[in-house]
Amino acid sequence: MASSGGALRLAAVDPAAAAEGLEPGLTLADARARLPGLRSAPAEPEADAAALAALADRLQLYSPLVGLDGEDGLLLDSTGCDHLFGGETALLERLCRRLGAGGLAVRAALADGAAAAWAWARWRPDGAPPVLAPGETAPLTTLPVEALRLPAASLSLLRRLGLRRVDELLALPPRTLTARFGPQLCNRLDQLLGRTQAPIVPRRPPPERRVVLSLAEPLSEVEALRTALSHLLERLCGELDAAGEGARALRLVLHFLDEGQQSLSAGTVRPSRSPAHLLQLFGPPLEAAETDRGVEALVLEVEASERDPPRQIGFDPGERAGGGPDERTLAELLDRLQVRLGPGSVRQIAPFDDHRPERAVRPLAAPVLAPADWPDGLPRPLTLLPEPEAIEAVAPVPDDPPLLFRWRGRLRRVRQALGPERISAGWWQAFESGRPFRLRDYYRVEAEDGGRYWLFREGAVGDEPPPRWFLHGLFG
Amino acid sequence: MSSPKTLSPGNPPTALRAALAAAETPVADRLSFGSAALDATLPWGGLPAARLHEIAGAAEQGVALAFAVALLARRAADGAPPLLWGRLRRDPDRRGRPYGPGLAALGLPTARLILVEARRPTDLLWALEEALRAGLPAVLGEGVAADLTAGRRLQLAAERGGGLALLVPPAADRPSVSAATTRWRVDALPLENDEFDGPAVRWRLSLERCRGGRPAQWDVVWDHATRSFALAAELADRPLAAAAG
Repeated sequence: MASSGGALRLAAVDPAAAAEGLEPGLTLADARARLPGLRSAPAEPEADAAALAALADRLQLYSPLVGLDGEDGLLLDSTGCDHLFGGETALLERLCRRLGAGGLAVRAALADGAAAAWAWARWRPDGAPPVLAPGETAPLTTLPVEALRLPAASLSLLRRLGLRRVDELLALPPRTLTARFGPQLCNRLDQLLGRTQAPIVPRRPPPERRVVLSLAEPLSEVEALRTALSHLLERLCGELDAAGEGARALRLVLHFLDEGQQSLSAGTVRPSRSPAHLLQLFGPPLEAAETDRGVEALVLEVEASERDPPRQIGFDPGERAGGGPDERTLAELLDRLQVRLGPGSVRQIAPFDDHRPERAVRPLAAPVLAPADWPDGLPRPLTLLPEPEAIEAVAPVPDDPPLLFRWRGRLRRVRQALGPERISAGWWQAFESGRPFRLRDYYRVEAEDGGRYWLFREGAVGDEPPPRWFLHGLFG
Repeated sequence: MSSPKTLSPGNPPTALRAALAAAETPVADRLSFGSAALDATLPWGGLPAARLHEIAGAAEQGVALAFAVALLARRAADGAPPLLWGRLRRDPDRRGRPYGPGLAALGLPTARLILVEARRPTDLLWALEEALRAGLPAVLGEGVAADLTAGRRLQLAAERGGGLALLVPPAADRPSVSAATTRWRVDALPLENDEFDGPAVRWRLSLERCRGGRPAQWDVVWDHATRSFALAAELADRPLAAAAG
């Protein structure tokens, strides 16, 4: 039950209660009056929605295109998928069996087009077969007008006019219907009969390519799964090869016996259609997966691909300038590193236009190998601390470099210094980082212990609050 | 390639050792320092390229790393393939990340540098090994120490791939026994007055251990423009200025 209008009302009733005449919308008090032994529980629409979404994800085993249908339904596009499960009827039976085994009451149907399937699932007469053959529209015309998904106003108007079934509507000229009900009624009729298509809004955009392996016996050992994956990769790479494409991002979904699933990803730096290389990329994720739950199906999808025309292998050994790995070997090395070390672990350094030192460099994902153009001439440290570290410094005259400073607990005496180099930033940049970027005077100092450091004084002398000193980087 | 030393009655043990070292794993490729005088003082006539070398320096200074970067810059000068710099996300010496403009100032072309960051030392050592096996011309491992086993693996990978393997172990964790072919220590030398406002760098290089060679020490200057070393003594045709006050 759910609260509405100041009274608790029934949100949904089970078949037994419906048989006694209870309907959603009745107040709880009335319902209890009719059926004293009534059991009720609070409605949890959010939990229901989450459960439906989770169910939609699980059903991706059966189809790549799964969409939510209202609060209690799911639409799947089974084009091209039914043969994997032994045909349309077998697919539907398996689905219903699995869902039923999970404790859900299911009404299912398979028909040509989303509108027809929706209508047939919810409104088909008992005893009628759940699967409609393509082009079989006659059974649809016997359905009541509620099967057309019309707004309540149209439905009540139809009832008043005494039009109860779809075939009664089909007997009327379309122009009349449009005049009375607007274009929507005729659109719905067209969709129901397959003349136009009602699109499914999928939860996830369907992948570019997809191969499915449904196992007769569930597997739980990593080695066995690797073999299964290599079969899938052979098929997938065959398709990529024929199309002259290579994969950049792959997703492997393991469907478990207990209806759960786990999704593993792998990405490449260059498009690849080498089954051996791609298999290697899935090595660490597979080992970390929860395979002992028992895998009953594997779904391998290409989430991104690129054109990668076949290359001729060069026969001339001197072709590779300067020795070292060729592009493919290098790309595969970078892929392997990225898989084991984690995303964002492989980078390149390239200049980025900004005065502030810490922003002047931006790591890129490898490998952009264009020559880098660094601003020249000014002294810059070899390494930069992630955040400048505060130091205590003694500077004789306000504008001079420090004579000595304490960093990380040790006192260091300055032997030589170069500077100041004044670096400031536009006032708008202060808002970006959240911390105001005050004026900085940078000095390169050499200490008596031999170290060379990049220090700065933040804020001008005479400022309030008084300027502070920091260490930002180390030189060689 | 000719073997660098023949046996001489003058100093049998060292010469024998050198000859054996040269013979057991012939070094086809050596990295010249850019200074004939410096090259001549090493048994191989330069730094053996397809081998592992360790470089140490003071903890909170960049000198050891800078020397490694200079060697990388020399290796990069030879051709186009990329170099790999691997480090830990949590750098034990807390020096911070390599900084593009600073690398360029030392003469290292960042366009051919791949930076790799690992969470654990084992992963970093694995990454270095993979890169060497793939044939990258040089790799640098910063902040990680290789024990004897790991060191031998890196040596093998370097030999197979032909790449120069450099390790800059954390100051707190220098292994006493190591599989490296050479072990160095780098200290900063004060710069001349007139050098200070330029990018010149001066180091004291101490070769502490060398397979088939003897410990030695050199004062060198690194020139980022020509990407070469020069012995400081050669340049000092005037007396060294006293340290500036």
